[in-house]
Amino acid sequence: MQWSGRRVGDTYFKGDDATVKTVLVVEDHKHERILYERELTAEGYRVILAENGREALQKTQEERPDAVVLDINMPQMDGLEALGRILEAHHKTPVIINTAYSSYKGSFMSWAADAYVIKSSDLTELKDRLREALSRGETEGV
Amino acid sequence: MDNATDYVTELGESGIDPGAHAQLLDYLKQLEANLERRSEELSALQRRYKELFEAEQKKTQELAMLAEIGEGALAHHNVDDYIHAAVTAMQRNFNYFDVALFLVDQSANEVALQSQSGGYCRAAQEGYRQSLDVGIVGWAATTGEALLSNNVKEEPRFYCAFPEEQRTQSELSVPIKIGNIVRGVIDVQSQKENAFASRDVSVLQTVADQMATAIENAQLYEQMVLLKRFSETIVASLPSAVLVVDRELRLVLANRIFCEEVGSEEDEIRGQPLESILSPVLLHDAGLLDAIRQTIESGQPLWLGDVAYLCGTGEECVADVRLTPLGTSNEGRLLITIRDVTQRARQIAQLSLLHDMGGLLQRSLDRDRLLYTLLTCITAGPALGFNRGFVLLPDEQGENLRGEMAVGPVTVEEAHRIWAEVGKRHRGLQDLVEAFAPEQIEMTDIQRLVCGMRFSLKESPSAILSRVMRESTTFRVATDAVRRDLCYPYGDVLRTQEFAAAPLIAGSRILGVVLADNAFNQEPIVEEDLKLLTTLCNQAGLAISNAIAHAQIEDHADELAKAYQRLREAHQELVRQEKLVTVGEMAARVSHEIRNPLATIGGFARSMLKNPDDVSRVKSDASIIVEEVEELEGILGNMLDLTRPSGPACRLENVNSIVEHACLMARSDFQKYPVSLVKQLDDYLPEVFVDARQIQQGLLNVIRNGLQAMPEGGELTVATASEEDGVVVSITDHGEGIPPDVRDNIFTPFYTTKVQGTGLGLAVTRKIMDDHHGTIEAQSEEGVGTTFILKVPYTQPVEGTP
Repeated sequence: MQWSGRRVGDTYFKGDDATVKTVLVVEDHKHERILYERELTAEGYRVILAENGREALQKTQEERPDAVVLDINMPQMDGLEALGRILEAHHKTPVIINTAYSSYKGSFMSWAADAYVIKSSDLTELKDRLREALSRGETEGV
Repeated sequence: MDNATDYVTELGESGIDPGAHAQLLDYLKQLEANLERRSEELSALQRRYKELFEAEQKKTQELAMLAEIGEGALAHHNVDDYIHAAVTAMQRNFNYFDVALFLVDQSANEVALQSQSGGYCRAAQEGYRQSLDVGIVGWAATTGEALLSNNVKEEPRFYCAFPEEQRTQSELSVPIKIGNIVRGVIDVQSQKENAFASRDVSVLQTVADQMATAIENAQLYEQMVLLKRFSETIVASLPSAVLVVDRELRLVLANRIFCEEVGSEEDEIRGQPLESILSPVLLHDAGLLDAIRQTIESGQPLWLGDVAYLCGTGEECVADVRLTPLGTSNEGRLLITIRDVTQRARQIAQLSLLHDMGGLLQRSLDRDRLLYTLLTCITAGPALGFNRGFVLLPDEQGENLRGEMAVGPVTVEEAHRIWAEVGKRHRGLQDLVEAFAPEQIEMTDIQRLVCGMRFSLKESPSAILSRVMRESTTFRVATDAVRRDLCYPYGDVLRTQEFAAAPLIAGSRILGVVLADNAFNQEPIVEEDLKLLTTLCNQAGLAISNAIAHAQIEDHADELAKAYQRLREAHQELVRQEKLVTVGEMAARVSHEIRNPLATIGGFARSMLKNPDDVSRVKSDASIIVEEVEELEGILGNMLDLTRPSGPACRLENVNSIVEHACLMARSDFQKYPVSLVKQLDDYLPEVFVDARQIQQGLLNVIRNGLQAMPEGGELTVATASEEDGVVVSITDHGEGIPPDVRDNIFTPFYTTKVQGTGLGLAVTRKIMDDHHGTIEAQSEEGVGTTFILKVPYTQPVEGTP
């Protein structure tokens, strides 16, 4: 919504704050947060972090991220619950589920997510899905 | 005298001295007076003597009569005869007009005329009876008093029984009493008035008393005679031989059966010594004589249940002898009852034999052994004692009979050899049966012979063997028939003249044919042998049929066992698949548990590869990798704890200190949760035999579980207590509780409802408790919390068991 009217090519423009996409990474595991922050920042995103579902919801409202990377198994608020809440408030925000479990793929809630990525040391797939989701959000936003 | 006085007076008148004359005259007158007085005295004396004489004479008569009646009592054992003799004696001796004797019949309230003698003899009818209520007789009978009437016209109690009695003027009735009971009445009548004096009353009473005694004796005697006859009839009709001997063992009495038994008339043997009557076999060999003497000495009855002896025909007989002393021991008479129980004894022996053989047949469920037992029973001396026995069984089609097994000799020489051997070693039926050895049977000549026997039931339907199979009847095939009958094509081979063929029956099924013969001693086969053989074959048939059924059951059992085996395999397969499922679940869980650290490790490694020159970053990345690897190792270690088969290393430990250690180890976990620890430890806890490290781990797992159940905080209580059979540690959280549907699974490996954890903790704890022969259970209430109760028994675990 706030990106409406922007051109497609702007997505790839780096260094301009207005075109830098903000990605919220929700991950309970400290080391993984460090890893995702580093890798996604290197991809040119602004990375904000949340440790659990509740914090994720809060950060979503405050920071209005362009996309959310969400782990499912977390204390305080389960990832799927957080997904529901996020989509409730910001149904246009793309959400990518990033989990060690393949079993949640069949969960009804996870259908609502834009992508479902199984955790791996190779973050290529996550990055691809993230890029796709962001570009789709942009197209839709036109 | 008068003449003498007159003479003296005349003499005085004739001139004799008148003074002297007067004197003489006075004297004479005195003399005359004296004389007259004397004469009167004399006549009085004479009268008195006469009276005395008459009295004496009467007394003598009475005594004579009494004596006669008394003698009659001795002479006549028959009451009727005696009474008649007494009545006649009375009438004759006393010259009574008529004497009658009535007997009282209380039951009919009558008196019955028993005997009569005198004037009314013809008038009174025999068997005359009159009521007890009438007449002088009736009065005497009912009151027991004598009644005399010397003028019956004046006597209201007089009763005129028949017209002739109207001439009776006097009647006297005297009762005959035994004790106080009036048994009869003596009635005397006269056609003169005042015929009887009191003297008659007393005499008749004496007679009545005497008669009473005699009647009683006579009646007793009659009863005795009756009893004797009764006893004699019984003795004579007893089915046993009965005899009585005296002290000198001479025969006093014997009944008909005994006489028949010894073949003599009773008259011939009465008075003869027993030893000349009974056979010495019975008296001496069987010890009867000693027993008789002993019984006479002791006076105690003796029963000799089974006196066995060899009778004349050489057969063994058995007698049942009872010795009963009679009367007092001084008399020394002995009643001997001899009953021939040979038949019964034989039946008992046969029954006992059949029972024994039945018992032997029931011992085995092996067909061959049963057949051998049957054949042994047929041939053994102590059993049926045939020379040989054969069993033929039909083939599967039931068309042919085939020789199956045989016992016995083949030749006369072999027969003698076998018998001599059996004679040397006296073996019982059971020993013979137990000697069964299949391989030895195979080697005998007769077995070879029987194995060659074939008989077609189809071709010879009328032959004996076919009939046995068809009619299931036992046959005896006699000498001629053996050759004639086609059924015995092996008659020549077997060289027998006579044989018995019996069916082996089990219910309605005929299993085969048994043949038995006496080929060598030519002993005839008698009816009894056939009966025994039939019964034995029936028993054997049932036993063999049981054996077959048992074999079938065993087959079924095998099938069942196989089915069970298959089931078990299927079950194991299921379990394996179940395990696979578990393994799958585990894999999923593990993949997650491992994937997280693995992805992290890999991610940082890639990062390091990309920027190998940023030393500080490489360092921090490497330390992260190290930490993640440690976590991986922890997961691996937990898994290994569950699967490692290592048993506990037990020693006596204080559970309180183990609990303290576990709590200490959980300290870092407590820091993650806002949970406070409450310890309630029993200070007087007995030591238990445990592996402290394992129990500590087990407790730690439960404590962590409790902490994770209370992410919102609360109290976790750890308590110890000693119970009757062990030490108990309970760990209580105030979490949400365990939903009922998952309670059964909480100890299952990799089962978890939690976000964190491997699902191994409680499973590991359970395994530890199992290894300690202890228990763990959970009591949970939703919304309230859960208490885990762990119990370690006091008993020392068996060494070596995990």
